[in-house]
Amino acid sequence: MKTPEQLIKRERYLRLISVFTILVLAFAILLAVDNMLVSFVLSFASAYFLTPFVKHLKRTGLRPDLAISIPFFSLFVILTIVIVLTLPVLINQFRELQENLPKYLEGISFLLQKWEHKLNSNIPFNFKLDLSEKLGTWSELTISTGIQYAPRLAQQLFTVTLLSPLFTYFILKDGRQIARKVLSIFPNNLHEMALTLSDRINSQLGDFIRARLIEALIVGIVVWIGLTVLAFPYAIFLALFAVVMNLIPYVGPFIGAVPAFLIAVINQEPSFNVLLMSLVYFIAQVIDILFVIPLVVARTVNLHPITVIIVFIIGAHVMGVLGMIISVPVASAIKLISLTVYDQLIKFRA
Amino acid sequence: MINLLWDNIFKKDERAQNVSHILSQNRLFHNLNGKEIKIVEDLVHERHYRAGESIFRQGDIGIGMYILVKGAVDISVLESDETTSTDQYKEVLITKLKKGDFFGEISLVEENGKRTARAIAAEDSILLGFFKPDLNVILENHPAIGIKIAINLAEVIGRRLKSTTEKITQLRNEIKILSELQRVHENTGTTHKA
Repeated sequence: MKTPEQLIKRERYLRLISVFTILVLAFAILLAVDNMLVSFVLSFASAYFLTPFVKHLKRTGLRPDLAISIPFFSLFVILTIVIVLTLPVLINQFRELQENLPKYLEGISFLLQKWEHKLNSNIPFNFKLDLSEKLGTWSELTISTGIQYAPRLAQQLFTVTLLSPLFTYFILKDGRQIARKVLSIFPNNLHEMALTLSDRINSQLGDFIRARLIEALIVGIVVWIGLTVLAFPYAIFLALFAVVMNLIPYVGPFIGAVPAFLIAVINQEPSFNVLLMSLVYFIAQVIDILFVIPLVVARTVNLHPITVIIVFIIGAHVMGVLGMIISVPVASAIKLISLTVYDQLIKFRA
Repeated sequence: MINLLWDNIFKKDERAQNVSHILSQNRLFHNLNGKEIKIVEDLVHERHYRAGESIFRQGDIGIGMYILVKGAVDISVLESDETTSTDQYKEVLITKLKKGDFFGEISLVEENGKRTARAIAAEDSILLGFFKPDLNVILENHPAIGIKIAINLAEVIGRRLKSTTEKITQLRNEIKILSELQRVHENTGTTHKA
């Protein structure tokens, strides 16, 4: 016969194991099932983006299902309109880029050869970099791999496009209830701490994701408008690239501007045009620094530049291009969660 | 099997009704209508405690209040034990709470406030937890309900403050009378000795 203390201890232990098992299983499913992780990351980002609108509508007294459906379908309609409007331009620019790709690769190769020559002539010992040759091999390999994996990528994209909106809707609708169900399994002595922790993580992660998305979006729009006004080629592609790269702190904004500079140099654009183009990227960053960053406290969770580079390389190695894009935001989120957990544990133990 | 199924359904309904009734009887939610009570009901956390299980300890960080749905809860504080010369503490029972009672509501407005007493389940109990994040959700999503609860909370805390002040005044008066009696007693003793 067990004493009440033993029963209480056993129940707490069992509950803790259950919570741990659920979390590990959920994480394993995310990693094991194809496209699940990407779909979930995208859904969480979209849900966090839409949450303020849902809250606002709920505050006006609207029914919860309508308060969720209106912003959800509005985003869907806006995205569809944007895609429909930009798709013809995007296809044209893509065809143009496809036609001119050999020319650009050749141009980059020529530039690299020139720099290599200069570099080698300044190095006293016999040291060959052969960057241009490496670029040739890399581009050939990338293009052939790209063609080979294109159908799989298209299939992945289709699955993610299908799953993400579905997950987003259910996160908005039932996310809180699911979190409460998981919280209810926590043992009594940890329940208050777990609730505070989840609440803090939720609010900080929401701020962080919204900040990153708004920031990247503003930079993208400014770059797109600026380059379109300058009649610079591939404005949409360059803006999209800037948006994606801007998700990476420190190095992202610079990497985002590299293709435009390369195109300008290869096309032998007049210096004045290059200056104007630089100004576009500069203005985008100034708007970001002056207006977006002060509004967004969540940026304080930025990672150290060296950590960013390491995480970026690991992401690229593990998940390719997608890994490059999501690795830094995911690492920042993990850092944020760890900091919050540590902070709360210290507070509750004090 | 069929009976069991129906049993469970009715039990669930009965429990929901019980929770809803307990909430509507509570000082914090007493002026909320049925629809508003349902919103609160969806947010509160039902917790089950075994007899002897601690709900919180004195000095723990508190984030909210508990309403007793079933069972009983002992509230006690640790006081230094004057019977021993060492720095030992003894647990002094302040009150025993029963169904419908609530406690810990000050934590709803305090930032990192510590629990001033210990709460322990005196028998197998069911409690409803209403915490700061839940109050924030109501204030953000349903400000009208949030304001009602906030005013009720202020009223409850105000009442507690008033009753504490009255108790302090009463204790001061008692101390005054006691010290007066002690002085008279000492004076009488001196006269007798003389």
